[in-house]
Amino acid sequence: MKRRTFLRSGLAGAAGLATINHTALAGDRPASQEIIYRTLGKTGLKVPVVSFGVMRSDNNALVKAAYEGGMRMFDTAHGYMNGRNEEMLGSFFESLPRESFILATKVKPAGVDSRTGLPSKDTTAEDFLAKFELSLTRLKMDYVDILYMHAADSAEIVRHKEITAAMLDLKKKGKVRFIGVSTHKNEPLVIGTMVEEGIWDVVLTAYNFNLAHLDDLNSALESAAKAGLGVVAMKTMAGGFLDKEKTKAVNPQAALKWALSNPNVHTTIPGMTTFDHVNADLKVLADITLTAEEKSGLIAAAASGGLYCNACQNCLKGCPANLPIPEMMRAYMYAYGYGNLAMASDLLRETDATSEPCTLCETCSAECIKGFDLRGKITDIARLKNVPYDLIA
Amino acid sequence: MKHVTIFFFLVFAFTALRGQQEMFPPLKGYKQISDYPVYTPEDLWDYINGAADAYLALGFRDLNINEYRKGKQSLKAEIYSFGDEATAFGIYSLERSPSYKFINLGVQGYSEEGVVNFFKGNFYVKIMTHSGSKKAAEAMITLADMIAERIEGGNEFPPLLKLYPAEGLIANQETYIMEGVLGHDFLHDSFRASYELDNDRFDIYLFNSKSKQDISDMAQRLAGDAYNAGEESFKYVFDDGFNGLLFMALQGDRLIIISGLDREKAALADRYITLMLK
Repeated sequence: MKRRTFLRSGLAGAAGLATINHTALAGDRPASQEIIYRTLGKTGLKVPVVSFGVMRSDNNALVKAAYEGGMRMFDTAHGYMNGRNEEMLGSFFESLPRESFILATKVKPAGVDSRTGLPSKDTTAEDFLAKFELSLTRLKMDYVDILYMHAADSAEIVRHKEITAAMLDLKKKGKVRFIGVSTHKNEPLVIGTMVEEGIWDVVLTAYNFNLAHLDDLNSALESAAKAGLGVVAMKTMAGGFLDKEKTKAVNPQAALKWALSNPNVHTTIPGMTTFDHVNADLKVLADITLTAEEKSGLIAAAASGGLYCNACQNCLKGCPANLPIPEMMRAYMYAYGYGNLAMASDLLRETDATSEPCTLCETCSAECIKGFDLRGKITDIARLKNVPYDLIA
Repeated sequence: MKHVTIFFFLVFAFTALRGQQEMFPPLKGYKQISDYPVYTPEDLWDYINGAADAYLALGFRDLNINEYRKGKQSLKAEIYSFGDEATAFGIYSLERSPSYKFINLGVQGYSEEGVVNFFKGNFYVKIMTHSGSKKAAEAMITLADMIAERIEGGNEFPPLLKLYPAEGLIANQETYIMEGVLGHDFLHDSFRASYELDNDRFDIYLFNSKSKQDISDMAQRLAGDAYNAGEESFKYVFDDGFNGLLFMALQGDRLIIISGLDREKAALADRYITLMLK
């Protein structure tokens, strides 16, 4: 190497190397005997408690770091990055022993209404199978370990005869080892339906400390685990931040440990886009004990303000004026989160709230589980009703 | 103070996102359906599931949708808005494949079976249909053309892409990364282009500087004590661990990193860096 072209060289371990280097990352990896495994239901697969949700990573160096650190299950989908995500994984795993990793992918049935989750006449096995075959080609694999029906929101799609028959047939042909459903809406209903149907092997579900319907979801997971379903948790970070400005970060290790404190959760698939993420998650492979401090930190984080209403509707029963509180919180978020008064105004005009909706109450009896100052926010945003629409549209 | 705040937002809202519905033209012979919700970062997951994370990582703002129906045929047009042209290019390029059939649409677009996608200005547009008919395919192109006409923005790729030397450049693989460049949380806002020259395959990252200080801070974090902000042209090569060998160069507000080359290829790395730092 010519000195005149590169003035500095760090190859001989020169001082000042500030980046994460191979040695440092290796030092943080759990020894293989320390890694905690759980069995993925009746599949019998022993999986490390932390797996890799690859969905937004196009850097195979991260996948390599996770794999060499001890993660074994990798989750992608036909639709992620329009297929580039599966292609990246296909290239990475091509040279590795097939039995050394577990690959899960997802195919979304066509023609499913995004608002109701109901299938339509466009929901066909032909479309589903064509997408799956393309996924196999991108992945450069003869089979995948888990194939999920992607993003099921309704009992109807979970029971869809044509799609489920196609998935069972893929299993029979050896192109899929196990079949499952992924869901992040109406999860208790979807999981309950899966248990009733009795044909499914794995469920991938949203599960984090910040969900409003945890009691129902925990019951559903208990039923799922009793029925032998493998349970994989996603969206464990609850968005990663509690505010749009990204100033209130969620403690990722605490969030993972919280999810894993439920013994009915067999593994988690956090997304990782930096080596710091990988490193933090590798530590949880060997230590899932949620400390009291971590737990109280998560509870405090869940209770803190922010802009995003969960739309859990818990507040409605406490409001004597029957105000459309979730809609008004959303309008508040449009106005102050995105600076979009037109959207806020459009939403408010769809409601029958007045411009001073809280004046009849001396104090506010509606309660927000996230601790929002409901009266303050409603009073603020309702004033928009006094602003002529043509000024803001 | 609150009056001032409201006034500010009035001005902002007037100039931004006015009449998103205006971006959707009528399509002759088709019934236009516009009663789709507007998706925001809060609920994009509800519409495109885990794929949303890649959009959110590039600063996605909102998604407007219209559907066009004619008998049994249905086309759906999705318009995703982002903060700037670089990030709109970023999401478009993340989802394109060099093997696609590219067409003149907006800045660039492609047409594949059942899909026509393109980007222009701060917007990424996706049009799709389940119908396999030739008429549906033609209608998608017509609709895409009309939407492209209505969208604000120029018809040029982000200007920094012109700095990439042409020799060995793999066409249609350039992309833009907003966060976590090379897996480091302190590296952000970079274009990436891939090259193949003889038997060498490498990537060149060109950072889209917000400021000289910002660039200097990133270089400092990467090079540590070896970094010298006083040098006119700072060059450094080091082993980054999982990313392997990296060649890094900084001059003014321009930061370039090359990955994928062995140490014996320092002259090659230097040649490209010199061209880009001119």
